[in-house]
Amino acid sequence: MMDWFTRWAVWLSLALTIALGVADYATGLEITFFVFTQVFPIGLAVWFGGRLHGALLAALATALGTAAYVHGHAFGAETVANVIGTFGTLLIIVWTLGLLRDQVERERRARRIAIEQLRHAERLNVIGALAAGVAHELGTPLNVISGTAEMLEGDAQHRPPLDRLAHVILAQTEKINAIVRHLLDFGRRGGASKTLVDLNQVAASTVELLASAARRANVTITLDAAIAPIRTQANGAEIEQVLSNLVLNGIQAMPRGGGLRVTTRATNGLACVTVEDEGIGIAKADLERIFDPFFTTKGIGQGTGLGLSVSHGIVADHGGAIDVRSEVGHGTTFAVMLPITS
Amino acid sequence: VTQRLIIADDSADMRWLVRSTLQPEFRDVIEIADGRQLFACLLRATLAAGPRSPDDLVLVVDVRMPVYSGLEVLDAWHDAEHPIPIVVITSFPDDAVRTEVERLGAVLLPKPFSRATLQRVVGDVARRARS
Repeated sequence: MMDWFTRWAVWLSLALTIALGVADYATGLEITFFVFTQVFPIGLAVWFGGRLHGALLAALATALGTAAYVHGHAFGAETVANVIGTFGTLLIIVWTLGLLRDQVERERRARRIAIEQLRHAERLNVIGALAAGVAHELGTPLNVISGTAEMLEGDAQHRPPLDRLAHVILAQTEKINAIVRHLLDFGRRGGASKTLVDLNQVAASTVELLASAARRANVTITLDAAIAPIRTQANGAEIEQVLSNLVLNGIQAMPRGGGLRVTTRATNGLACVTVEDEGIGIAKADLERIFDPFFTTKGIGQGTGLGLSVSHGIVADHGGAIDVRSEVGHGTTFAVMLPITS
Repeated sequence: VTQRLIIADDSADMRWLVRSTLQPEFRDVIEIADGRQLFACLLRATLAAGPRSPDDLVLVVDVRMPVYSGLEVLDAWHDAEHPIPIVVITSFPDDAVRTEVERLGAVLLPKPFSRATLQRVVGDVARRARS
């Protein structure tokens, strides 16, 4: 079984040979000779882009074409000039193409190295941010635990009641547990089972879940769902986590209350859920960092700085993307795009 | 015992730990949970001290706090003529923090620290301020 390329090549060569033969016969000119000694070698040289075997193939084609000509004609000075001219042209073409190819290859390699370095730096950056975040978050509770343990070790007369000390230790370990859970969430990629879910339902249950939190913050949530169900292969709980995260961020961005709009739409094979707030907005400088782990503009204890980076990871896992547009003082719109399963 | 201790840390349990370790050595212990409160507290202390700057304060300040970081507030209050005795506590003492702490004439105490170390470091700073 021939592949399509070979099949077409065979048919085309056959057609070309017949066409050239007919052309020679009809015009009385040596079109076949011209094609085989001039066009064909140059085409081959161009095709192989200045590689050595491209030049050899072209030379072979020239030699064959010339041999066919010499076989039928007298061996004249004109033929020699013709062959030398063809070889000269070929050499120049192959040489130039080779130089160009080298240049392109060099630039491509330089770019690959630069990108690799950037990626590496980015990875180090993320690891550095993670390490700093972990150190910051865990340092204090660990210190409180060790200090409390020292009190337990010390003079029984001068220490706070045991139940107070035990309570402090328990509270701090719970804090550490929460941080570790968040980190695991952050590190988890894939693995979660996906089923066919309706994004309208996921959005509705998210809005319902956060309605009371919104009321407390004086925020009105409106759900503008597409009429038809939007089916996508996804982990419902994870997508709900992403949406709640965006909605909660929106609520927190409106300290004096306001309106928050959740919209679901399906267009061009893409499902899109937007969460639009009328909040304080995100400064331009912060916009490119909001998906970085541990980046937060909220006060300590209010945000771990992991919410958006976890959301970003979840959506990427689903083959989707998160987009953000924001205007300081006017509000922010997050758009979650996911592929639709038809 | 004439000095007052200000503890600024956003963790209530951390403040409790510092307070229960250092209380006997100070006339008064003031707890503060964020940078803005720390700023207000320093402002009040300065106004109350009248024309001279307050000389009975010792500060134990965390770096990472809500609103303003500890270092931001300390930088705003920095007065090379009348330095306040300061111990900066942090769980992430990177180069930037070290340089800044040094510039402010403060002492760096990385977390986690033992109660004995806390006592010794704050005691040293407080004693130096008294003499």
